[in-house]
Amino acid sequence: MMIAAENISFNYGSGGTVFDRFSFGVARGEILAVIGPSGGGKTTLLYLLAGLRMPSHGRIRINGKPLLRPRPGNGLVLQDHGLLPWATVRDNVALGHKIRRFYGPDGRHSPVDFTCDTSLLEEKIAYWLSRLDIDDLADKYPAQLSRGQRQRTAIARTMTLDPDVLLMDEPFSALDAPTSENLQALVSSLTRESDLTTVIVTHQIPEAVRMGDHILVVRRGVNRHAHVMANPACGETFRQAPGAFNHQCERIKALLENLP
Amino acid sequence: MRPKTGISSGFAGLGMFLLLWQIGSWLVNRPILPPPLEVLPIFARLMTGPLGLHFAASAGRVLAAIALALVTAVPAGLALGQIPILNRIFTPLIAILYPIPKIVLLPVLYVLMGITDISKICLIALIIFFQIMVVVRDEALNLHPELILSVRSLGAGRRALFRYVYFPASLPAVLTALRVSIGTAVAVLFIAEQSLTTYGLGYYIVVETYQVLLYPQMYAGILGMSLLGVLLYFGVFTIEKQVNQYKHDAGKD
Repeated sequence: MMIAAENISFNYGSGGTVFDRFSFGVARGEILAVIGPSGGGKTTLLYLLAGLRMPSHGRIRINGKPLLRPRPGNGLVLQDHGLLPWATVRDNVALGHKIRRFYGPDGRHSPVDFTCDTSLLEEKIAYWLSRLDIDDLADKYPAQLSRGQRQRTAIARTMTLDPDVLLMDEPFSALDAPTSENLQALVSSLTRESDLTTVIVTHQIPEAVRMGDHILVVRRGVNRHAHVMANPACGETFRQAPGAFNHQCERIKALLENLP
Repeated sequence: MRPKTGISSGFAGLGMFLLLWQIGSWLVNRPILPPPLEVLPIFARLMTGPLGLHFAASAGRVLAAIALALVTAVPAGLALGQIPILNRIFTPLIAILYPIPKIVLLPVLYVLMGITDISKICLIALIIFFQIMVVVRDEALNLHPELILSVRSLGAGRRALFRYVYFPASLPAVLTALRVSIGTAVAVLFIAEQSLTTYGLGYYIVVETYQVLLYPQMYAGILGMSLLGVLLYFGVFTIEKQVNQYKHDAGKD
């Protein structure tokens, strides 16, 4: 397992327990879609995996190592507001590298084998700008972009750091349908071609069915048992295989309504 | 639309100022308001002599005060903006201290810190300090939590967050606060320099010229003080425009 959550518990100070001895895993190279109602702890789970929150009990292992702080190999893409408004697309994409250069290869903020090779960096940034199809926007500011273009910038920024884990918090939920379908397909193929392990949080059932190799269903209130479903319809859209796709959506809908 | 502030409009403003001055001088027609043509040559001559030294002393005090205020107020504002408990504790205190006219503390500072330049600089720094601390705090509070989280996820710790997020985020507001408080700072400088020093434009205007009825020379001092204020104001304004360039660029499409 690339990602393993082992008996993790988490509660907010106000007494709301979200997870109680909760366990699940994600195999290397897979996409796990996490779906659930708002207030169901989906985002909390993602922050736990990102090392931005710490479980009160149990632990999370990534690639076998316990996660104690944000990990250089983790890439995080949030719904919105993740870009520096005063920096251009190019500068935003370079931000992770600037931060790594700021600290040097200390193993905490950047990988121990990090080298600051400027020409290599330029090349890498150019590659990801064109791979995400935003190279003609490189000198624009986030306020000049559409939401979809902003998400492409955020993904490019993450990918230039060569992550092995990609964590996404409702990255496409504010987008119109064609844009979000494009980006879903893009993230699926990035996961395959860059050997990523991806966790994507969503509240939209079709998105979970299109993207997740497995689907984790969380509920409002305390989560004790992880409901992980295999998803044979992964990668398919309603247009390609309406039967299987609809069937899977219906199953998840039923599970969301009737979680014990 | 805001009127453009370029070199040409600067000259137009200067021309109108001198014209009004000349008209005022005709109307008043007393030694207390000498015409510009009498004052300007004196100003030019004195600036390369004794008045230049007074000007340098005053400019040095204001610049030192600005530097002192920046290095203390920016970290203080960031701490308040990032640590909610600190902010809750200090907000009532700041609300009380903020509107106190700091000039009244001049005698206290003289007693505590001695009759030196340090006490004058601290007094001016104190005025700028509150203005800047408050805006930095508000900018830090207003940053979107998602922005902080995503930059932290790129590996940023406290130092990198300051360098890449908090500092650039609050810089425009710091410059605005600085520009707005420069008027008050120069006014307080004028008062603080009237006594217990031998150099400074305030001293020159009040003790060396006004009290001995050298009105044209006094106006040279007043021009010096005005020049100091104008230079500081437009200096900060120019940096501000550079820093805010992205807002301008982002506005056009």
